[in-house]
Amino acid sequence: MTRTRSLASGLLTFSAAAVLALTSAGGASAAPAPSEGNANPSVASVTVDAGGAADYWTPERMQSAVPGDTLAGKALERGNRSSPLLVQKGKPATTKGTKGKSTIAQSENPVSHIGKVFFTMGTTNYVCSGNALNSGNHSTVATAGHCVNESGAYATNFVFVPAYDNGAAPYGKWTAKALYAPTQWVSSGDMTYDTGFAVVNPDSKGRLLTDVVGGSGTAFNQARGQSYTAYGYPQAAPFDGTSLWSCNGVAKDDTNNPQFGTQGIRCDMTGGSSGGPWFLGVGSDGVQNSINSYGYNGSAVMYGPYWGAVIQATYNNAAVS
Amino acid sequence: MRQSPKPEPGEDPVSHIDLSQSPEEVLEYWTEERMAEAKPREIQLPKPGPRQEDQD
Repeated sequence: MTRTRSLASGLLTFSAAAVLALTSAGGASAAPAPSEGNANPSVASVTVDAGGAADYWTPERMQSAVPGDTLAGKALERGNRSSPLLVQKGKPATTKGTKGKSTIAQSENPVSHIGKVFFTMGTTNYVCSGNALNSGNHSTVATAGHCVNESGAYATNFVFVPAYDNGAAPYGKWTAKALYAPTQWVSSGDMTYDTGFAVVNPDSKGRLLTDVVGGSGTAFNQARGQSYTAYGYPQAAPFDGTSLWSCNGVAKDDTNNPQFGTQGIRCDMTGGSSGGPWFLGVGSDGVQNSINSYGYNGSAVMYGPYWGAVIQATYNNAAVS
Repeated sequence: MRQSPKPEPGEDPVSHIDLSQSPEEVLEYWTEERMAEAKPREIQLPKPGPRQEDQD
């Protein structure tokens, strides 16, 4: 009996509060009224404009909201005129629950050496992801080739924002003084070589990038089919670009375009994650061995270029510049 | 182990550009509004034919 009362009270609390919230905030267009017609004579409905509900519920209003049990008590005072004959009438029925849309990618806390890169191609501003690398100049950032060069034209206004988190730049913004990419990416957009490197200026205090945020080691000419963790700042829906995400998986060759020599892992990160680092193994402490490069429409696989001799030469040139 | 294709003989495999913009100029360019409105850069290739399947 006690359990039944509690459940009923809880239901009343929820439904009454919800109606009140929507009514108060959005302004109900009419008082609740029984549905017209005879299809469902015991169901009442009200049309509400919920557009202002979110704005209405300030922390102060939530704090001072009256417990809905008060409304349950008032409802009881109005009397119970239901006929017992109407209760438990009808066939058993259930509806399925949902868990909402989930993603393969996992949310991550910011990592000091991983960040977003902002740049301009032509007259359009873009955002990608990048990672600071251990390097001779302490100032080298890895990203995608398509985030530094498009059809032979290099980006301008290039800036790296390590550990970006919802608009915050805890380690500042690091502007690029030089951009590097494999010639075969620049000259022909060959997906085999979709990797780029930025060399950034010291900050306003004269400090070098990896002296501030640290830098990942690199690996080239490694065995294929290894396990990777990929990081990035996906911005296209269902993500919003405000925070870091990751995917983990064993790399497999791109059988659709084997001429690319690329490998893919199961991952649904979207645009904005391009250029984010692939680390060998689990986590962000490993050595970087590729970047987020491309996907196929309708396929939850992220592909990255094989870091062989050409990309190694590109890194070497950038790292000592 | 497959290696990346090598560039053509005589071709410099590495391209680069030295940027002439000052740090101050670039930092001034990236207002909060511009950063918020920057478009995500991505490469989405057309869905392949019947052979295409997720590789997991």
